[in-house]
Amino acid sequence: MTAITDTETVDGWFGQGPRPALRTERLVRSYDGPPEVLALAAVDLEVSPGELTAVVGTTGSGKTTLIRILALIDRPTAGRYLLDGIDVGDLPDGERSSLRAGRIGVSLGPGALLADRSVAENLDLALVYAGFDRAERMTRITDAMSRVSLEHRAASPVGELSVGERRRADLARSLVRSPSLLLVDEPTRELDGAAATSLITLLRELHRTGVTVIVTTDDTRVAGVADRALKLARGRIEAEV
Amino acid sequence: MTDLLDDRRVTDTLLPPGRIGFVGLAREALRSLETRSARPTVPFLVVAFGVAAIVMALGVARSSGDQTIAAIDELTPTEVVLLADPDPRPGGDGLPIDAAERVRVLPGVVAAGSLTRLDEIPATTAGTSSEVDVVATSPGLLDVATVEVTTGRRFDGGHLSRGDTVAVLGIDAAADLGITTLDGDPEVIVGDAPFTVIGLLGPAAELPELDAAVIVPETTAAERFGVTVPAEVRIDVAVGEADRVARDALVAVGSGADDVIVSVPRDRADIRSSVAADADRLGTTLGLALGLLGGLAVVATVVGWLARRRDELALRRSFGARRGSIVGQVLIESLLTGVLGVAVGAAIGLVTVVVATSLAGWDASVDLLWVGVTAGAAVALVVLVAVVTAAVVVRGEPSRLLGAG
Repeated sequence: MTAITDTETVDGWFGQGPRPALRTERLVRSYDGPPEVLALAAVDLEVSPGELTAVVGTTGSGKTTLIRILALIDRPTAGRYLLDGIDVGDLPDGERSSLRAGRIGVSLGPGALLADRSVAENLDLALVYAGFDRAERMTRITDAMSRVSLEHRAASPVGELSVGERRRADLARSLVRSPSLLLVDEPTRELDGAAATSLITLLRELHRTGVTVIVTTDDTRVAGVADRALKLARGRIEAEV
Repeated sequence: MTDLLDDRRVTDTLLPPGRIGFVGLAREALRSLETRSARPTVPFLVVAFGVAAIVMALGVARSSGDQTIAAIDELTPTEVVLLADPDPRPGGDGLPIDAAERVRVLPGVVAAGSLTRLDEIPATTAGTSSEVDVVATSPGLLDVATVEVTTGRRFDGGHLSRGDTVAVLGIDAAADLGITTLDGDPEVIVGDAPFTVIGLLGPAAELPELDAAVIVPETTAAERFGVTVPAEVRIDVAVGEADRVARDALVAVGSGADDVIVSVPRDRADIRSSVAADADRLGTTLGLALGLLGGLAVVATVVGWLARRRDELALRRSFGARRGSIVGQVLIESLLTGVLGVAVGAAIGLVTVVVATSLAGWDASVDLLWVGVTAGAAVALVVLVAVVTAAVVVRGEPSRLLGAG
């Protein structure tokens, strides 16, 4: 992985203010057709360290595609993506896997867990792939389960959890490696009012710990707790709302 | 807060210490095989039944071939006969007196004995008017005839060297002469001389003419009656050895073709080897056909098994797993599946061959080399297909497997 110094210009940053946690330049993602689908059309995004950013949009606006690219589980068709100043677009798979396992936490939803494994095993796998030793893993699993108030379900198979519990479990998995960047896709979808409110409160608490958080949502309550909310429509950031 | 460190349901399922090296991958592979969604039930069954079918084909073909060969062996005469020319050339040697002993030690000879019929010298007893044929033999002829001594004993080399006047009676001859026991040292009159009966015989399976004969030592017959012995030497040979024994026997008795006539049964070795080759060819052809079908089934089911796990593999990638870790885990899973399937299949196949052949009254026979080749090929195929498929499945970015966003 390329080492970045304060003065270099690889990412076009010249030291005015803190370096962005991430920045995208003219990010494009299209899917081969027919018909060809343009999910992202030249997205420019800059997020500061510790910022809670909401990307608001309707279904099909490109929110999940954006989260996946930022989480390094997809590659853009064109454009640049700089994470902590590093252009990650052309990194080999091994280095992208290391970044994914080390710096980034991504919560893709209730279905993003191994359903026939326990909650603790799901969290453990995320830590094993990042290279943590067993004692450290146990401590982190305990801490993450506590943060989402799911300690009592640690040994339960994911398939036996409610949707709200699975959402929390997935969030715990994304937090367990103490990522510097947390990406959460549609956190309140499929949740009832109380569960949604509880999750929003949890996101605010995480934000207070200094983690950079990007949330995609069409829920105005989630957007309301963000430092700023950006409207994504037809694959473009159209406005700050 | 519940202390998870004290919850063994949690701690027992976690992976071992350190990075996910071989031990971690093996543990994770075993854990995966326990879970219903990742369990390779169908590939396992295909491997097990495929290997079982191939082992059965090989075993039944080989066993039936062996059975056919055994039947051919039973039908194949295994007796070579050396006959002294009844009209020898002047000065010809004929058969030497120890011809049977010379031949008996040759390779491929099971038993050998000489035989001379005393056509002009019948045997009788004082108490009956019956007359029976007399033959002079060496002791080994009773082995060629596969006849048991039911009472008393047979004559031996000592009797021959001394020219003892002793006799053993064939089963029908004993009945005709009214001798059923050796109590009182019964005698038979051969020519004008009394011969002490020392043994009574059972049925002579391979030489029935002995059943109706009084049998005396050939040296005694030569001395007492002036007959030329032996008239012939009968040789019991191993299957497929007739031609060689016939050649060697002529050399051993030291006579040329003018003085000794050799009677050799048609050698069935060519038919025997042809049947063996056909049986093996049948088994191999069936095995290859089943192997081809089984191989296609293995490919289809292993690909299906991993295709069904696309989401799981994608999630592992999104958790941070490298491609190598995924492929390594699948390699271990497929290796375990293949080895277990082969073990179960080979066991089923071998047991079936043993049961089927025993029901048919045959001896079970399986070429274990081919069983080993089949087992190795099956495991290699499962692992190869699984690894290649896994490598293809995880080739792209995880999002490709996660579906539309």
